This record gives sequence, C-alpha cells and structure tokens, in this order.
Amino acid sequence: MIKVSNLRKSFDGVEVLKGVDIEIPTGSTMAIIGKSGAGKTVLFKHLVGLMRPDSGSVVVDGADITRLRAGALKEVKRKFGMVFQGGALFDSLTVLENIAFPMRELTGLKESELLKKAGEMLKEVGLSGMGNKYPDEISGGMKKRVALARALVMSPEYLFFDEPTTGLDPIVENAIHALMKRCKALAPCTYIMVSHDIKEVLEMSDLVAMLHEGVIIECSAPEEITGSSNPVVKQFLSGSTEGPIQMY
Amino acid sequence: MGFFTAVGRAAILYLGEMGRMLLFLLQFVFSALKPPYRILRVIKEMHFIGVKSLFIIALTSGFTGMVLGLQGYHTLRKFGSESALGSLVALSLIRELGPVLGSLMVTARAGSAMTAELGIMRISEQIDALDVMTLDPVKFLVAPKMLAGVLAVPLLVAIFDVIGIWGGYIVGVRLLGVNAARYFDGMKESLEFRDVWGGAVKSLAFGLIVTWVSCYKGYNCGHGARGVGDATTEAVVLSAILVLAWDYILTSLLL
Repeated sequence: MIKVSNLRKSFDGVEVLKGVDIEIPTGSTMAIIGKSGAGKTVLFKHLVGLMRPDSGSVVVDGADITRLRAGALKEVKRKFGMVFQGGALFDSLTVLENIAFPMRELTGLKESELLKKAGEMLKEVGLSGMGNKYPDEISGGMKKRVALARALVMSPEYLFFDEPTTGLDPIVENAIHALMKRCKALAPCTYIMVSHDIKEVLEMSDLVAMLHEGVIIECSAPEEITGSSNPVVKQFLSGSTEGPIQMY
Repeated sequence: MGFFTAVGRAAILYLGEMGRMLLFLLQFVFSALKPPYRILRVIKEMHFIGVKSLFIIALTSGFTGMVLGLQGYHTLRKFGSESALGSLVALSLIRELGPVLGSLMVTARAGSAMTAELGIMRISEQIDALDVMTLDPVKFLVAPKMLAGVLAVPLLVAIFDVIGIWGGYIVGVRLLGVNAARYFDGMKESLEFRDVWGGAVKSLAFGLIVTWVSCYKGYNCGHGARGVGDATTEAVVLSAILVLAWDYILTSLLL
C-alpha cells in the first residue's frame, strides 16, 4: 500500500502541493485526475521517488521513501515500473533492446535468456516483428506498448502510468486499455495513473482521486465520484466551462 | 535600491549555479569510484570524443602550426634568429596553443553534442526513466563521458602538438628554407620536461572542464527544444571561458 500524508511542495515560492493525503490500496487501480497545472505530475513524481517534498511523507509498504537513504530507496524503487507519457524509450536502442535494457542492467540473466524474455514480452504487447525498429520509427501507440512491456518485464508491484492514452486514436486507446487489463490479470499489481480522459478513468480504475488547488478534494469509486455533489468534481467530470474551476 | 537588488539577485543566482555545478562534480567523482565500473561505456565515449575528433584536431593543428611557422619566421628574421623557429613553434604549441585550441575544438565538436544528447534525454524523460529503474543517471550517463573526456583530451592535445610541429616544419623548413636540423635541434635544446608536463596538466584539466560543463548543462537543461538549444550554447560559451581563465591560472602556477 502507498500512503501519502500531508505532502507539500513549492517551486519558487508557489505552493503546488498544499498537504496531499491519499491512500492507494495494494492491488487497486487508482486514477488521479485534475485540471492541467493542478500538480498531478508533481504528485506522481513524489510517488515514484523522483522528487523530494518540502514536508510530508510517502509511505510504500511501511517505508517512508521521502526519508530513506539512497540504498534503501533503491530497494523500494525496485518495486516500481513506470510508463511515461511519451514512452521515454531510449532512442539509441532498438525496441527489443529497450525491453531487454532493465534486465541487462539489473539482473544477472544471460544475454540469450534476456533477449528471449524481451521477445516474449514484445509478443505479449502485440508487437512481434518490430524488435529491430528504433523508437522514432514506430507510432505513438506502439511506443506506449513498448514502454508498458519495458515496465512489465521487471514484474513491478506498482505500475505508474502518466497519461497512458493521451494523443492516441480511439482504437489504439481501447487496445491499450485491453492490454493494461490483460497484463493486470496475468501479473496482479497496483496501477496508479494520471489521466485527463474521464472515460478512461471511469472504465479502468477502482478509485478516483481528484487533485484541486494542491489538495485531494475527493477520493472514491468511479460510480460514487460520478454522483459527487462537489461542484468542482461535477464541473471537471462534465467538462463544463462554467463553474468554480477557473480556466485561466 | 533596485540596482542593488538586481545585483544581489544575480549574485545569489550565480553562486547557486556554481554550488550546483560543484555538487554535480562531486556526484561524478563518487559515482565513478563506486563499482560496477562501466569500462565499455568509457571506451565507447572515448571513441566518440577522441577518434571522432581526430580529423578536426588534425586540420586545426596543421593550420595552427603553419601559421606559427609563417609568423614566427618573419618575426625571427628581423633579429636574424630564424634558427629558433623550431623552439618557438614547439613551445607555443606544447605550453599554450595545443591544450587551449585542442580543448576548444573538443568543446565545439564533442562537448556540444554531449549537452544536446543529455538535454534531449532530459526533456524526453529518458533520464527519469533510468532513475525509476534504479539506475543512477550520473553514474550511467555522465561518469563515462567525463572519464572519457579526461582521458581523451590529453591524447588529442598530444596529437595536436605533433601535427602542429609538422605544420610549422612544412612552412618554415620546406617553404621558407630554415635548416631542418636547426628546426629540430632548437626544439630539443629549449624544450624542458616541465613544458611537456605543464601541457599535460592543462589538457587534463581542460578535458575535465569541457566534459563537466557540457554534461552539467545538458543534464539540467530547461524545457523543450529551446531549453536544449540554450543549454548547448551555454555549455560551449562557459567551457570556452573556463578553459581560457584556467589557462591563465594554471600557467601562473606552473611557471
């Protein structure tokens, strides 16, 4: 389980996170929503240990990652996998090498074994035969699938998705959703995603947390949040320009 | 009041940047000392910084030596000392021009490329991806580049010196008629070990400066294509300034 308590972070005197409290139960799929600039990415980076907060804690399975020393933090981070918004694939490596990369660097697997495993994972995400392509030779949807394969190959306990389907066409979007569900069924783990796509959030998650003005204003199941009486949540879910959320 | 505020703000900004650069250097030292040692990556980076810079080093050093030969000959002739041409060319190259010009050429060719590479990795979240994978990006990406720079630049500077001396020979001896034996004998007589040692110390220091600045700027670049462009420009300008400033400091210490 991940438990975030009173997390605060400022940049140049501007407080982006003003005391975030959130609990992500093990095995769940949690979606974090909020308008652009609400601090979702900042919160996300704290969850994966890429940023240190000004105050507050992020406790992962009993260990507060904001206070751990480098060695212990590394051990906790081994539980994480992340699918970045743009894929963050290494552009000097082929697709297959990208998937094999974490195994090559972090495990003692033989080259033949890790290439075999990477090939299997590539097949799992429906990209057999694309292994020799470079990231700039494949589409955005393919990049997301390769990034998912690269994250899954290390069997993470927590898998983070930053905007998993942004910029993709509806068919590819559905394919990614199906793949995410299938992967979760094959190897159960906790999914945490940041998304703007309300349809995706409601379809994929068990819990939805809304971040607004630096705090979580509501965290509940999709069916509950759709019936929320909070005007901010209502406006965000409906996409209306009228309401308490200011566009600028 | 506004003026003093602006000056104070700028001073804090620059001091902060200097502190961050120093911390980055310490991070490199610690990560380079800590196993596992990525020898293959260092060799790959040495190929990039060293072998791929050979052509531009040969070209610039050849012309530098030729200009030195030409200018030196006409200046020395006024005093009837053409025979000292070999000494002039060798000492100028080994003490000053080799390390400085060689490092500036490495900055232009390899330093800018390193900044751009790391900058693109930063803005496309590849560095964050390494971090999430628990691979230390400084150890994995930066340390091999900086180690390779420290090793490759002195070798490139040595090549620069040799080709430059031959450039001076072609102009001074072959074209202008200076005695070949005097050209090389004068060099042997005037050149001391501390000249060569001084040049080597300078090239080591400049190799570190160029790769340190280039990697720091790329690793901490701003957002988007403009951020990478700005980082690359800053890396080249700052490397050049630091190389010239340290050249003066090291010269005064080594003399």
